[in-house]
Amino acid sequence: VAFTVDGTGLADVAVARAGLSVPVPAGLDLATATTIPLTWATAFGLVGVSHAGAGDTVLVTAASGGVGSAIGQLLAR
Amino acid sequence: VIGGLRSPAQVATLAAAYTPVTQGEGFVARALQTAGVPGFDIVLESVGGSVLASVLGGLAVGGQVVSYGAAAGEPDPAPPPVPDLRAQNLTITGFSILNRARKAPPKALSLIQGVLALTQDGLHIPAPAVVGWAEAIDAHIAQSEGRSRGKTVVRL
Repeated sequence: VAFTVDGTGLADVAVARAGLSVPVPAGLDLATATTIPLTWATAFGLVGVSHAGAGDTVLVTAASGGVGSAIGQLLAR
Repeated sequence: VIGGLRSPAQVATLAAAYTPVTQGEGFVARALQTAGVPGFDIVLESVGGSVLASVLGGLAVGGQVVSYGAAAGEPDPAPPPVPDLRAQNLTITGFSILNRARKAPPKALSLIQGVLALTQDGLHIPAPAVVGWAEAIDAHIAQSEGRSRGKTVVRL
């Protein structure tokens, strides 16, 4: 899967940067893997930059979307 | 962890970690009341506009707000003066995966690789909705109206 930075994903053929492309590991289906570069990487980055951890009181203002759901799952780990 | 919702109907799609509070009048005050604290340690904020402005007033001493979107389409509020940040030990952080990918690709790549590593360590990523080309228009409308949870994949 790849992160397409120019919004060119909705196409028959797309050019991806090698530096933003990763092989999908065995056991992860391709459709699920497509949610990682944008949605899950955002949630992972947010949890990282905020250093959210045990004991913190956290508010996620938009919790029901894709990123919000991913944040919820990551915070529960 | 408090999770903000656009409507009470979205409770059904909320991750288990969240205690729900519906956005709207008095949102941050109600969220604080639900959490039972005078201020939040961390706010992850993507609504923007008036919601971002109000969460800046709802931080605990030493609190941090991370702004990663402005979905409401309202103008961003002016940031607090630096002396006010010092007085309360506050941090305001901006985050955009798209701008990281554009300007610092290795940093975006490391986030993607970090998530992949978690999947090898037991993180379960829910399968997205997968639709065919004929359903793509309806899927776009559902996304824009907040009726779908997360990403929808169009399989050609």
